[in-house]
Amino acid sequence: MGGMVIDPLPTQLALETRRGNQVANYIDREPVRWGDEWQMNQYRDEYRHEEHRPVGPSRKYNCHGLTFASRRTTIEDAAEVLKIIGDDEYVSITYDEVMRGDIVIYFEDGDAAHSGIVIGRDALRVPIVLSKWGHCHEVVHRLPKCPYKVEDVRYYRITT
Amino acid sequence: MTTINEADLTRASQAYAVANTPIYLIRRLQEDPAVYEIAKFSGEDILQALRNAVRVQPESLLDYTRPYVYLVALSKLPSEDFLRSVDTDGMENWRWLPYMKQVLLETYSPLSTGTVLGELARLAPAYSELTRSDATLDSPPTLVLTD
Repeated sequence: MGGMVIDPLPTQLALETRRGNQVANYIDREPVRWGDEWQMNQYRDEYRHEEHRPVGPSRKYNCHGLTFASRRTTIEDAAEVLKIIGDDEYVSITYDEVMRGDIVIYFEDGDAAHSGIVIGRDALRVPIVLSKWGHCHEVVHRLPKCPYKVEDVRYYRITT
Repeated sequence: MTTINEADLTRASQAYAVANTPIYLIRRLQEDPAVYEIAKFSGEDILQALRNAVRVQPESLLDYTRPYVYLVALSKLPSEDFLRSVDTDGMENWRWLPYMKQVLLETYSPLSTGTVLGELARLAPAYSELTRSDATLDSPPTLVLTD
């Protein structure tokens, strides 16, 4: 009797930029680990004035996966993020120009440490960002109210 | 602190939980006082702690964080030999370990970490370059169940 063949779920997706270059990505399908939930709740407490979406924790996607890959996978190489920015023809915009739909990248020493999607601005015109915090959860937060440094935040928009 | 296991890894775990990139984790661990406390132990002790940490089947956030902490602690020693001797083969549960080891070796400075910190992203090779063999789009291995 022949063996039953099972194709395991992929750990990487075919994810290409507009120019057709593959974007390295990874899906960790392991279940939630002990401590993940606790850590997530710690951040809920620490940033209690932000809006914590009832999702996660999840290692299937991270912030860059949310911003650039529709929550389908994890992009953990900053060089890949820069590849997307270039290949997809994002243009840099200023803080004053930022509006809903733009994206924001938090750089640290040139490393794209974090990213998110701008979904509005508050009464003081501070951008409000939807992002995912590592393998924790998604948060709608004011730009600086997150565990990432804000000394070098850049904004991008696709215009064509 | 009398043993490495007593180190407070709360801050390290917090950083690991929200790390989107391995460089981010390196940077946060390099800023963590616990790493410097651990680096006061001998290279042999830290290396042994790292070996023990990757031998267990990780169940908690701390289990996942510990090897990264010890690796960065090794990079704080006066000699890079212990860091270089870390065997990172077969680290499925700690996928960033080989890359972080390479970055730490390439940015290693026995005198200071301050200047190296800002150089991390510039000096570090692209993560995808180092993991290219794992990152191909070839068909995944086929699992065959036989009777």
